[in-house]
Amino acid sequence: MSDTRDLLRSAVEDFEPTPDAFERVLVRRDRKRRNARVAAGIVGVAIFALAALGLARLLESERTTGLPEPTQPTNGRWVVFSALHLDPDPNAPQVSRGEELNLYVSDGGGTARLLVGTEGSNTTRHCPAFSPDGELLAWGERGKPSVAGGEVVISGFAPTGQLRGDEIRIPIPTIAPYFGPPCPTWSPVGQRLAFFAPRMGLLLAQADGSTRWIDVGAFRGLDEVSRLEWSPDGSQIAVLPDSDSTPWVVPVDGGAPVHLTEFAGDEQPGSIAWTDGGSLVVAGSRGPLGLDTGPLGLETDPFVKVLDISTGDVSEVPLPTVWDVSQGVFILSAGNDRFVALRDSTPPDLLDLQGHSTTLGDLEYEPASSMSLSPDGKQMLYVTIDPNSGAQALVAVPLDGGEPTRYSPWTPRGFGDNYSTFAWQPG
Amino acid sequence: MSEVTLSIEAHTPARDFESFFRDEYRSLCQALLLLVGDAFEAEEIAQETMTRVLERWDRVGAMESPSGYAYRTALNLQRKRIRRLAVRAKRRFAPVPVADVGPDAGDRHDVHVALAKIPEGQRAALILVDWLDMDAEEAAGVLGIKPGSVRVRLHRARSALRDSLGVTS
Repeated sequence: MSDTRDLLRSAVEDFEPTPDAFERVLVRRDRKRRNARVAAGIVGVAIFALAALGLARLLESERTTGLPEPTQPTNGRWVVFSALHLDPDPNAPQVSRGEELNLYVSDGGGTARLLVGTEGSNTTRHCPAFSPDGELLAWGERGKPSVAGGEVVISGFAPTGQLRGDEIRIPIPTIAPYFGPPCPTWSPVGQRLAFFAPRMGLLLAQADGSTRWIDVGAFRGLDEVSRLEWSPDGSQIAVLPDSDSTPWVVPVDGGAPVHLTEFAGDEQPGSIAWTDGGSLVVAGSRGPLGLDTGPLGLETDPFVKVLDISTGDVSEVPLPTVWDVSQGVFILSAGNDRFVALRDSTPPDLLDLQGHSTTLGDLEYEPASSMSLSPDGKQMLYVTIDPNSGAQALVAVPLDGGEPTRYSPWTPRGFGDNYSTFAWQPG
Repeated sequence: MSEVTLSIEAHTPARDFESFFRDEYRSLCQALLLLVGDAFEAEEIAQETMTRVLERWDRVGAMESPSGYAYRTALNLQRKRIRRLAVRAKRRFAPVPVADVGPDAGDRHDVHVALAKIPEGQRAALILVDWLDMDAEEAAGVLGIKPGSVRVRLHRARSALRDSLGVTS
């Protein structure tokens, strides 16, 4: 055995891991959370839009003269995303590509321009989020990961794809370093947003910068939350903590928070979404965590449950058998009680609450990041990696198989992901 | 459903995780480098592995063997990587070329080429036992197979490696 070890040693003895690997892991963890949360924000807009579409159809069937035509939900022109750099040169030194995230803006065509930040800046800008009317942009900022604290910034967003008006800055104190920038999420109605401050709780902010803490004792013990979802009417926020993975539903304007303790044991909720009627859909995986499981250990069964918040009733959505032994299911959107569901690396499915599913078809580019829907719910936005060159780009791919749109240049791959969070402007 | 307002003591999983990370990361990278033969891919998988461990640190940190969980996660990620490459091959995409440069690249190349010829399951057993000093029972737990199967794979992998490198035992 020692002989074999000596043979193997020669293959790795010169290898040195990246010096800042630990910090990169923290950043990667934060990006995954932010991606999920921004996806949730876009989903919130999609929910609202699809709900409006459903209402429109209802009105159409019972319409009387004089009612206004409902507005078809549309996509805005601009996509804003955070990235380390947009340097397309594959030979550019790693150090020139920046250590911190800036915000870029694009209207397609494979190009983008810097929107917020500067090359070589020590400040990370992250989690862009558009207000429901598309006229305000919010994002999170913070300095070096070793320094506690951050800010949420709100700015007007012009039709030309530039910031306009004065910025409103909301400082977010945190009591510990190594947390990412705050990640704002807009309510689907009105102009207010919410975000989670590590070990402090939920902060509600109006577009004018005024703030109010939503006091939930248990949140003061949380480092992070993985999902934060506004209800369609903007009256409640569903929160999925990282640590115990049991969701909370918090009334925004008073009332006791509800801890959904139905999820425990071997059930690991991974995503949450609201139905049009105000029930909460919780999706995740079911299976023991640890070393004493089956041949592949981490393979688990997905589940989707619907909780009636007012009564506490829980129903489980029967899932297709082909979904068995999946790593779980991730709900991307809900509208008219239909969901875009993602599982493993299979094409997305459309799932209804009765368990009927339709595979939406293979995607033009293989996804290499979290995915989110356009405001009209017809395109998937994600980062892809070119299999030949290894370069990355942000793309929007129509679910019906239409022509993809690229929102960034192809940029060389470094350690970890160049692109982080993204937001599509509502029309 | 219940209405609960709890007061939970602030905890510091990031600090506890950091000491785990400092202890294990280099070894994990080296093991993955032996497994996949490419430093970039190895560290990519190692970072994703550690990210997943961090995301579940509340539970993984309480396990008897957090490092075992990490290696198991890494091997699962490696399997998924192989599946992804297979899917790409079906789509007639060319695999990403791997270049090995630098001093002593020849020696490293020989070992990596020899390892690459060994079936993935045997290679994993070899790395877990002969590089990470796990016993057959521990490696069996990580691989999800019987300890006897680990020993069989190990014997075959050692023989294949030595034959390929022209080493006599």
